[in-house]
Amino acid sequence: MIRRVLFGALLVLPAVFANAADSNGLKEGKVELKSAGALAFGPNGILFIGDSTQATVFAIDTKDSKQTDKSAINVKGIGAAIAGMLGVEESQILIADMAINPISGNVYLSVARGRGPDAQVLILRRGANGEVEELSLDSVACAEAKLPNAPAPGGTGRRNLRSQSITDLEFHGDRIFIAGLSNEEFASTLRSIPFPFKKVNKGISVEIFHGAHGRFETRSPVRTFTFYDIAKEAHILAAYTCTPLVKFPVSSLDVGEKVLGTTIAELGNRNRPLDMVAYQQGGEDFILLSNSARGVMKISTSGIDRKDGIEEKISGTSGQSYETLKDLVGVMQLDRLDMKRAVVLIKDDSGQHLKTIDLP
Amino acid sequence: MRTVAATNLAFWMSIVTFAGEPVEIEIPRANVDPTNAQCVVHHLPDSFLQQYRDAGAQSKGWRDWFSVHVVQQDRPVPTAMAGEYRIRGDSVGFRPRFPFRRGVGYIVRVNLPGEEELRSDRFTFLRPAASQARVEQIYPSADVLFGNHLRFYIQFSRPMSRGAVYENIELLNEQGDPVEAPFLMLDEELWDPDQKRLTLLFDPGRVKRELLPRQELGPAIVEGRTYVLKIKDTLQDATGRPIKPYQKRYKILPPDVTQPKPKKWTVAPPTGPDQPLQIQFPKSLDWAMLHRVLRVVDADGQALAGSTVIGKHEKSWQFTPDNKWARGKYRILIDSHLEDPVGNSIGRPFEVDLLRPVERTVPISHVVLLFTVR
Repeated sequence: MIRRVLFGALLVLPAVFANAADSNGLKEGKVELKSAGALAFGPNGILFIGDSTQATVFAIDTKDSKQTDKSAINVKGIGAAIAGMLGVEESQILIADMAINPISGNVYLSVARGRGPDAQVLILRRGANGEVEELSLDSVACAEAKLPNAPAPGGTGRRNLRSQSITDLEFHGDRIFIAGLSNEEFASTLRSIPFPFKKVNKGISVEIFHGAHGRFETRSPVRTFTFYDIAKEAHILAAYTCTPLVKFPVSSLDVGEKVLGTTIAELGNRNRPLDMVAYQQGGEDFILLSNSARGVMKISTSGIDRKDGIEEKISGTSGQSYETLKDLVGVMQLDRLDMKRAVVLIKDDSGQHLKTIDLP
Repeated sequence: MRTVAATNLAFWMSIVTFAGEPVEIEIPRANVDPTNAQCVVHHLPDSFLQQYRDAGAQSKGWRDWFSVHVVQQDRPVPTAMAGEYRIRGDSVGFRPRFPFRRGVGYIVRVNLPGEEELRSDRFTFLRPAASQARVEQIYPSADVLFGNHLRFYIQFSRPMSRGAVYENIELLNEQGDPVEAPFLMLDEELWDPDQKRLTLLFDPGRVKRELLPRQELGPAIVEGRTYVLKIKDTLQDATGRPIKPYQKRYKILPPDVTQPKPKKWTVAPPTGPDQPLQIQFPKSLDWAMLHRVLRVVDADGQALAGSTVIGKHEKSWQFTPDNKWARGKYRILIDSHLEDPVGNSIGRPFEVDLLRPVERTVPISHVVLLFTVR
């Protein structure tokens, strides 16, 4: 008994010494996730995790910053393996997002164990040794940025049931960009937070942009987005839930202003876009977009610099030309492994699987 | 004296022999709380345990001879559960990383070195009896919807499972056929933190003019017709049980493109010190937002604490302060984000045609109404 007490006391000391912020503003601490959400990698193996329930973006240092040759990742039945490891049936596992560490090539998954409000949430890593392991968040270099949520009316003691869902996260330059929407008033927002997170007036400094596209301003949520340089200027390419693909220059994002995006493609209805990456093939640039009902699209960037968007009535699809990749079916998650390859999470009748593909 | 035996939560199942001593596998009882439950193998010879003592907590060899698996379709899942192994005396206990879950089948497998036969035992934690989850109310609570309707709130009696909402909620037309793709499908699913209230949105692409889905499929609901919103019994509560099915019929009115206008509300000041303040709206407003976007502020600018009641068809709101009303002037602060169920807010209409002037946009955050308690 005495031995255990001494051991505990010794353990505390390094934590105290390590409690100063590092150069990224991260401090040793415990991260408790309440909902499994979007993932994105920033610099030096820093992982951003979106937690909708807490309306918070966490930044954690994965310490996974060793460059590797990024061997192909193929795991058949990863859903069953995760469920087995966590002690539940596969139907009780929800894989919310997947991100690949651009340095190590390791795959990270945000996973909920259980589907109720008491679900446990964890981050899993599929490392070079081929094993799926849990990333411990009990003591990790971390920082958090709370998104402003509409406050409950002051002093009335009523509960605020409004929640801010985070639909996608991307890191660009020195900022984390966050797409989200609320479960109450219908307003979708794109926010950016400078990283390292800075405190301004006791809150985190958050910039909010409201998107509009085409002739009709829309508050439709941005489902997925990526960054792409058009005429040497950084742009956001955003796919909305009503499936238009829209571009707007990052420099046009002024706080509080409406951003008029240019619709560059209509990609068809009965569909929701899932993930998007930009890549190069044979000297040309392409966008790879996975969809819930329309498969994976390889979208040409030819003519993407045009000024006028689609504003006419159209039927079917229009704008940027694309081809649908017939042999990629059931892609739920997509991220780039390196310049030539991507990793996909595929769902079929036999379960969920990780697969490495050559970028088409 | 073994700790596990002292817990009194266990009973002995199979007995195997190992190096001449009887080895026992202890599994948790079905009727205990699974939170701290563990599986234990007893009477292991010291010579066998020594290698694990030497390797300490880092030892990875445990699962080679002692593992716990989920049983699915009567077969053990190959991947063993993650967890912690601990030696206590001549016993080894396994505590899973996350607690065992009620209703799931588990199997303990013990395969000691030198033994050909695999020893195993199965266990399950019983689910406590609970009443069947049901839909308590759907908002809008009226039986009519505007043709450009945007949002429903579905209030359940118990916490629900997430991840299968859109396959279990249908909108049926007059022929009883499901309307194709009426709702905005969001992987996140819009639940409140307790997972008892779901926000269900019509696909704005089917509501807004000149967006592709509406042009191809037409609007999801058509004026003059009747539809049924159906929640199937295959939707599960948080424990995996099916719910009581529910349906609600709506008649469709013409689209509503007008914004809520607080100046047209009827404010009835309290008639006595413990009487409620009452406000009537000419049209229904958003049920969820009415709970949080109206504030009553006294002459000193202090917001009053109290309770609110939202009236029939979300067309009225009443407020009773915790402390009795004092005589004087009060203000009602109305957040300009307050919307009707169609998505028109006080601040702006749902759909803005950028080439045409807007009816009204209110750049301010609040609209104020005044009343006096005499």
